[in-house]
Amino acid sequence: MKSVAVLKESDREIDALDVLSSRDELERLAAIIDTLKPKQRVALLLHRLDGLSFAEIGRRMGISPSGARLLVKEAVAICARRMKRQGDRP
Amino acid sequence: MTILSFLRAREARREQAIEDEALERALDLSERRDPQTLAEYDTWREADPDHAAAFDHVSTVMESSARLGALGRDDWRAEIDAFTDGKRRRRMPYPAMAAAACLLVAVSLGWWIAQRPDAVYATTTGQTRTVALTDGSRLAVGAQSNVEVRFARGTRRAMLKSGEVFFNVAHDAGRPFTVLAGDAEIRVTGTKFDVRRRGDSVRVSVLEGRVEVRRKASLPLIGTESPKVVLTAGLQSSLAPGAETFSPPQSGAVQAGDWRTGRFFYRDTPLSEIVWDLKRYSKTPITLGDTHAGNLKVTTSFRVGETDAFLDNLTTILPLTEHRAADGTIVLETSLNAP
Repeated sequence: MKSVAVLKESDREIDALDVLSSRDELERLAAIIDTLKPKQRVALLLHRLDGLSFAEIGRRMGISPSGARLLVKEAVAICARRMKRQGDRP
Repeated sequence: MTILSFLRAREARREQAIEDEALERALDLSERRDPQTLAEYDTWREADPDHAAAFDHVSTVMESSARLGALGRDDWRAEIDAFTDGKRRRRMPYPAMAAAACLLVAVSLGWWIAQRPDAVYATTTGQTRTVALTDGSRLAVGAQSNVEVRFARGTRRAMLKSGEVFFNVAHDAGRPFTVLAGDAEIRVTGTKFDVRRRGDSVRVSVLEGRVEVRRKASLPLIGTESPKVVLTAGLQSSLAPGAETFSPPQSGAVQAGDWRTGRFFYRDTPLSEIVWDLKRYSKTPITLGDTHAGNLKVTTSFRVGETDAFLDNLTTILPLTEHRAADGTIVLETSLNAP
């Protein structure tokens, strides 16, 4: 199971437009993720999508927790840099 | 090297260092949010507006990537599984190997991956929530309900595990929306309808548009599909446990999804059905003392939060008595002096 959202009292109704515009963002981000090295991509997805700790990612990938953290860091750094560059375009 | 290019290079190095630190802090905060880590983060953030900007950008990217499940990228999931399975197997003890073998069988049947949800929305007693999905559809999730959602390229699927959900499905003819609730399969392209699942009985009520319901084939590959029932606005149909087909369409006692207003209406409804709602919405546990009481039919309504007044009313109009068990549970029983 990828994620369990037990909804909190503070949950507000999300505007449909927010969701639609963020879908474009998600597609852009996905395109960047597709260009990552497989190791970086797997570590990033395990961390962000599955919400796993670095220790657990390390265990699953057969590497150390700090190695897992480094892969996630590289992946986020590449995504952040390229999302920024694209975002600056008129 | 000119002075200008020297300054540019220095500025780039500074920017790079800030981005690096912002990322390290965001990763720290993703693992632990203890007071000390947070206090250090606050101090750092306030020291320079560039710190705050860099951190906000990187955390936006991290938050967005947590929502990538909405894209339904099965290829990523397959890549993760391939990558992690290979590494893990080498270090596994025998019982875990056996478990992994069972899992592999499931994978080879194509069932396991296909059934995994993008998101699970679960509510507790007395809690209702609305959820906006990435396709523009909205769900109103009733109390004590659990629904899983999974979107892929050509399909939108929700699985109602328990409780009640009102679906407001965004129209997309090329990508039908299917709700599975036990043995019930409900197909739409865009419409508003309510699905209520109590154990293995499922009731579908339509507020707008057109909905097709059927009992799902027990062996999908052989494909003996049971006949479908088509529902339009104002109609409802139920699938009883073990029944071959949905009941013929009939007009609903109340508007589909009316429960979202916090008031529940019942027309000639067995008490067991009403108590099921009371249990989901009342903080005080309620139970039926005998099956006879559950079969009593009544036309009534209750408002969430007014359980006590409702029970008083109920014991007046039905041959029922109400008492409290030692643990505080309210027990409804048939009166001994009932006719």
